[in-house]
Amino acid sequence: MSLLECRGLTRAWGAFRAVDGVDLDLAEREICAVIGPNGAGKSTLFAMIAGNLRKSAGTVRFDGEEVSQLSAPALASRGVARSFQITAICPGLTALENVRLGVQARQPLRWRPFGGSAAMREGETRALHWLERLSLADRAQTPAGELAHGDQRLLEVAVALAQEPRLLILDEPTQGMSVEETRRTVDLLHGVMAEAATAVLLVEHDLDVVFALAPRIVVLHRGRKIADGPAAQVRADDAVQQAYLGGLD
Amino acid sequence: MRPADPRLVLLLIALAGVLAFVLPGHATTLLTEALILALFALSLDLLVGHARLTSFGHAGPWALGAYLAGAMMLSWGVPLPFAVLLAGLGTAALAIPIGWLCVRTGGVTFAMLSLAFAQLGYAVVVKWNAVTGGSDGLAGIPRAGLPDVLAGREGYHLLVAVFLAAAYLVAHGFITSPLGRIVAAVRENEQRAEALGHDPRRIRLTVFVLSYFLAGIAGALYAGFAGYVSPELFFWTVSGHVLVMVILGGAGTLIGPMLGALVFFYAEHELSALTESWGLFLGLLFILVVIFAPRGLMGLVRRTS
Repeated sequence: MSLLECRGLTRAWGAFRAVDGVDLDLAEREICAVIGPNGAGKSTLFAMIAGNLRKSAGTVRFDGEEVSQLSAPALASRGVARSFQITAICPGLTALENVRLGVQARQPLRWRPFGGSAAMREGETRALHWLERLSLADRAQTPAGELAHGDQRLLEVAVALAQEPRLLILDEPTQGMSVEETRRTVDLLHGVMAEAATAVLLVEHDLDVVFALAPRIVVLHRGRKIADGPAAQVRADDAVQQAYLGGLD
Repeated sequence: MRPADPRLVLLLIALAGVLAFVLPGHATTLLTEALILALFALSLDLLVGHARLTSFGHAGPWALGAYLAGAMMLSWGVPLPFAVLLAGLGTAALAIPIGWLCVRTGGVTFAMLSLAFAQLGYAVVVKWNAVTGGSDGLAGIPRAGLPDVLAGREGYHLLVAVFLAAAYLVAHGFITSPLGRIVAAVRENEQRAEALGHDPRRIRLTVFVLSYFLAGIAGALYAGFAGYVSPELFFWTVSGHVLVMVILGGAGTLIGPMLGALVFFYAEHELSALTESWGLFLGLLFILVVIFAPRGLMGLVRRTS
């Protein structure tokens, strides 16, 4: 049984269909990249899956449960963690506290209005582990808002990983990074994705990143899915060449 | 900002408490009122400083707590400590529906809604003559059920100090708790809080209810202190003054707003003895603080230490 089953996902604004009848299945621990030209509907698709955006039509099942109508917090509690295209971290809190809040999200007493200092110390240890894995440990006490852009992107991934998700959604993790930063990020992501026992859905513009990280690729074009399969096969697909890869020239 | 060491804060409150046995009588009375205002400002700091929900209507829970406690002691002779706690709980209970409407968003909408509810409270107590005494208010409220030692000037001062210390411990415990940390996350980035599995509206509601609970306690202590309550407690100027106390002292530090309340209260007291237009000078002081110490007096202390 698939971890994630999307059927006919559609989002329309008036006559414009940003996402149009997309089916998408994902197995446990499967890593899949979604690519497509600007405006292909990638972020909209992710927003619908993660509960940030209402669906015009279609259904989502997660872990066998119908979750189409659930809100983002409810889905997060069921094990969906995500990063955003525009970095969403808590700028006034330290990097460590940001990640610790990710750990806390999975703790049973996360809403306790008093005490809880033991759980929080334990959370800091776990958080430090993820900061180390993304080579941010030396900036643990820096307010997140003062980190460099690339480090903020990585911090957001660390927060999501700390939630120990079953499905991790990464929306352009290397967005706005230099070539060098991108390469480093890909290496780091490669390591943590192998360690975390989670399925990954990844949006990415940089095709080198895509081919380095994802064995499976889904191509969106004008809201529709035009290809879905192993990376090498998708790369050779004629329609994909025309819609996307060719369009880069 | 890192919270101050709670032991230091408790020590300061204890000192303020025992000052009652050192100071001349009228000075003790002034300090009692100042400590009640400190508790009031502390309650608002949870909203303004910690959740960044700027309330323009904090007179609402303050006056509500005062009326509830006043009525309980006047009509049924409920012993003061219970009346104060019950008034706080009553205020918190009413804060659930009010808060549910107010905390949909932060910012200006929240400020205006909170103001509207305080004004609504004013209208209700003025019109509902039979229960609230209308525009005359309720007079002759006894400090019911207290032994003589506590009902007197020094005793009541100590009682207020104990309530202030307890309220501080509750507020400090809350903001350092798991839930309190989530309140900070919601303040910093709502989208992130949602992605972590928290509903921002519910999280804001919890801090709203706690803030109203403590403000209700402050108001209830004031009813016992002054011996009367009137619709003026609901005035928007009361909401304005307590907001100034919080910003003056340093929002988000808990101790700052308490000190801000003392500074504001004594400045008002001294200035009003000198001049009719004390508000003008207090306004100037406020402007100077905002310009030269945007993080309030506590920000100034932190910078020099």
